Amino acid sequence: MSAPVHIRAVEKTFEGAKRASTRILNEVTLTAPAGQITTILGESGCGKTTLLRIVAGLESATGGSVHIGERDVTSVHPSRRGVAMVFQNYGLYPAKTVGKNIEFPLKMAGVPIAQRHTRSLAAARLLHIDHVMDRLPAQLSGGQRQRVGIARALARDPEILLMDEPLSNLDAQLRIEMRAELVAMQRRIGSTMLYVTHDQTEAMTMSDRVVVMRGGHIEQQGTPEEVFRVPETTYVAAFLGNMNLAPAPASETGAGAGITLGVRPEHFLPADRVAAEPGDLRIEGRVEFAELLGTDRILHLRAGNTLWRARVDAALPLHEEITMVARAANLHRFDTESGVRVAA
Amino acid sequence: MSTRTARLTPHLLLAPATICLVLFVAAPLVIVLVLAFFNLNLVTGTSSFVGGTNFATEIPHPEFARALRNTLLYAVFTIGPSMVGGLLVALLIHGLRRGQGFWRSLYFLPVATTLVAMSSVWRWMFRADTGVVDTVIAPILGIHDWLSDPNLALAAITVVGNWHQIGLVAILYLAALGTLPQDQYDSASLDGAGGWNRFWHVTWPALGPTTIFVFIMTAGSALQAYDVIAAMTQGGPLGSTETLTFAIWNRGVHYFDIGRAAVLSLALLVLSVAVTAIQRTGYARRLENGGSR
Ligand SMILES: Nc1ncnc2c1ncn2[C@@H]1O[C@H](COP(=O)(O)OP(=O)(O)OP(=O)(O)O)[C@@H](O)[C@H]1O
Ligand SMILES: [Mg+2]
Repeated sequence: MSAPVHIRAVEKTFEGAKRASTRILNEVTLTAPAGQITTILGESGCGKTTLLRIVAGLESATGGSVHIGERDVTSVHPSRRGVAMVFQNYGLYPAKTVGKNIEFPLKMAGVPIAQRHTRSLAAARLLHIDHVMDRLPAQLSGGQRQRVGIARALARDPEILLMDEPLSNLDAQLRIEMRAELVAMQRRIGSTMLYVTHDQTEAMTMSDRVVVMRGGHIEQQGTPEEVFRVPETTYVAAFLGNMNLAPAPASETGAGAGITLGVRPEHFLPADRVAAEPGDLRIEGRVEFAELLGTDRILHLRAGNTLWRARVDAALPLHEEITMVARAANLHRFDTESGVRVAA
Repeated sequence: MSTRTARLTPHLLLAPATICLVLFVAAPLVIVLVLAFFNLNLVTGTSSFVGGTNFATEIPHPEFARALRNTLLYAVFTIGPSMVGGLLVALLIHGLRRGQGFWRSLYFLPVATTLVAMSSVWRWMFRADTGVVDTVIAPILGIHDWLSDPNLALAAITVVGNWHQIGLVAILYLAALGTLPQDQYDSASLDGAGGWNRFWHVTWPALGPTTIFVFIMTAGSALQAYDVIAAMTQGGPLGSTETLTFAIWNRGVHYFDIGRAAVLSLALLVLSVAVTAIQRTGYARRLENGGSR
């Protein structure tokens, strides 16, 4: 009972003060496949919330259209779109108990009281908050409040589930638990989920599809593997996985200037362990700084004007001078000016 | 710091407020209570203890029941309408896209004017046959000369009281409406709540503390209504607009009967305490806490 969401060429401009208008969304086109989790990933202020609100109908698009399944919902009232939303700041009714909060959409839909009770209790059970049904939101922890928000969204069996950074207010441990729970829950109910986050780990671990946004437009979209393995731009490369980006040494590239070379920190190997092959990148650097991350260590290597980050085994003996090699297959090349990937 | 000074400090800090409270609240209360049992002659300056005589004369007197009834009627017909009216005005102004400032000022104008001065304007409007009220309403409802009619005079006073109060209520509600959190409206919109449900489930609970404050304020000024009555009817005709406050003034200042004025004051005090009690009851408590249903 789920449907895909098609967002087609959606634009949004806000009329600011003194007639100055700012364009927040620019030609955003994406499809969230039915019954899957699509993550919208981007840094703060790039328009993620605005896009989600447009899908929900809380904000009207300046241009473009939103389709749910076959239905054009661009100018349909929020309550008739079959979408439920979990808000960044919960959006609970402070004067209602948890139970009443979860029941509210059902009450508005005219569901009989007995059925309302069973359905809200079922949603609460799913999120392990059935023991706090009589409390007010103010008497809950942040994590519990967020669960109430999710339970309220689930209670109506929505076709489309929109989530706006639902885990951003939780502590690290709870976030990891909830991440897994959310995915399990989505699999169980089978709703189409659009999930907004600025956290790349959430995007990588939870999604079937990732959409990377930047400054109001889509930078790249695809499966997490695709986006991670073949970043289309330097922005995506740096944002997902923190890739090293440096002007390519003239010797490395036939094309010469204007090419940026990208290497993931974990793709650097100690030179004494691998036999260098033609096309590989070889860095002879001085260790400026080393960060220990448990089993791994991040080395900051200075080579000429460039500072490279290399992720190595913590057991690797530390020398002042270290030579690293990155395999040709693991090198990414981008046009320096446009930041767009160029074929190797 | 020793425990002794630690225990004393809060009392010292509260001392100024305590002294003011005792001097200006507790002391007058005690004095009124004492005076109710005395016969005070302001001319000779003598006083004598008369026991319950003042109560025995004042309470069965028609003036007492009449003043009590008029006070209650005036309170009911100014508190309710001005709260509902003020809330409606606030909601309407809040919903405007432009011109909010203009309407806000317009409704606040009566609050900013001197009620005594405006009462004479109202008296002119209520003037028999030639006044605005009579020329407009008399042909339709057949009632005229409100201020000389014992059955209509209190209604006229109530109209002026509401006119004066609605603006203030509206301003208070408008200020509260301006601070309401938008996210609940977003939730309500997605949850399928229409206009009335949005108001009843989101706006009204959020306005709870303001509602309580507005109630206390309007109730306070209704129970103490004096200036409109003094300026428009002097309690007449036939005492039909004489409220407790006006009767107190009449007894104490006009007839120099301080003892009976004190009895009337005690009646007003009982009413005020009753209002305070309402404000502590279940629903009001819930409203004050942001209201929960
Ligand atoms: N009502 C509005 N009027 C004008 N500008 C707005 C409005 N709402 C949002 N914006 C602007 O739109 C841009 C995108 O906002 P949005 O809330 O969509 O960002 P976001 O990606 O969700 O950020 P975050 O990760 O911090 O939540 C911001 O620059 C913001 O200032
Ligand atoms: Mg946001």
